[in-house]
Amino acid sequence: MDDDMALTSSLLGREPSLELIRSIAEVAVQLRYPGLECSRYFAALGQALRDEPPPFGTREYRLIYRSLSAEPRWMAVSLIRNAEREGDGSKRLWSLAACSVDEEHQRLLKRHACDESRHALMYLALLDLTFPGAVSPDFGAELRQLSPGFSMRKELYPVPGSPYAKVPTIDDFLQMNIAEIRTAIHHTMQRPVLGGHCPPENLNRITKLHDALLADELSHIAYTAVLVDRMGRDVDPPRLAALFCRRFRDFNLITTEELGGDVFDCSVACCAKRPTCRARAADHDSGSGATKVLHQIGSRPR
Amino acid sequence: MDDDETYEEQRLEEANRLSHAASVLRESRTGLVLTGRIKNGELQLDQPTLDEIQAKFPEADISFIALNSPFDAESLPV
Repeated sequence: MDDDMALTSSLLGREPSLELIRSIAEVAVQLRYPGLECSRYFAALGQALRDEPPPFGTREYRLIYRSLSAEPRWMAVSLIRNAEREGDGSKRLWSLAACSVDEEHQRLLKRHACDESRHALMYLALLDLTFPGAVSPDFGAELRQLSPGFSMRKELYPVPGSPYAKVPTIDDFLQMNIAEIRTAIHHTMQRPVLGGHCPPENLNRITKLHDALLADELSHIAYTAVLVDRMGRDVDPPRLAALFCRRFRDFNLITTEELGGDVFDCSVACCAKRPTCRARAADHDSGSGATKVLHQIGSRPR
Repeated sequence: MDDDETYEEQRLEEANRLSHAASVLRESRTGLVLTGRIKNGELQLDQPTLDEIQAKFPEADISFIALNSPFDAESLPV
């Protein structure tokens, strides 16, 4: 096992905790940018973890996951939902990349969008390997549409109607960073469960696919951390930490609500289920902003 | 013309029966069958697929899902 794999493997098999979240960010940066400190980023992350500790850094989060994921049907649907969300996220990133005015940001975002587009198919491959035959060939072929099929060879364009067709800001990279950390936590929980459900002969292929997914997510955590650190160079440290705290608070709310309530932002057609989802709220009131939506779902920004 | 329509209906009914039978066979072989479709670019899982999950945990079909992009399209200033 090489050093990179050893570092990545050190994240697996650990209970979700604030220490694991910090380790994920540290390992990610160390793997992709060895020797880079990112002191502004890590200081702000540290404060946010103290002030707004996320639910995905708790033992209870893993216990709920363990209970649900023991059900093959839930696990299979979860893999499909992950494919769906990766495809959706890929379109957001593609739009951001298309509108970026910074060449480096554009290249990184485009690569990120292509990765997520590919990840949608990788989750479907995990589904096939873990639960062979659970999806008919016809439905399986349809599911491949969940990936937008982006590649580095394709020309960028803003996805029609996307609210993410805008110049990316430090806030966007910070949000991506938080979301990717949660996804990495999910990977640490998924690994043993997939192994428990799959036919033994597929375990090696599943492990390789899952390793590749985790490596990509760590790479995304790393580049967004570095950009936050660099773009935050001229910002007062307390202000950067305050934005980090605010976005952790928002994302904690999303995570909590996903576990049993209304959702802050609409990704998986939640607007069809919930009158309070962002997309639907925007339909009713074109002036809705982040504060308004937070207020709507019962949490007032401090 | 009527004969054609009747034949078409019978053919459709037979196709549905076969499709259902195939699902039952797969279910008994693997213990798991998921059905649904992609409509207008959106995933629609069939209700029986969701019912069993939602009975246990109402929002469970959308929890523990990857998110790799910004979650609020309205950026805040720093």
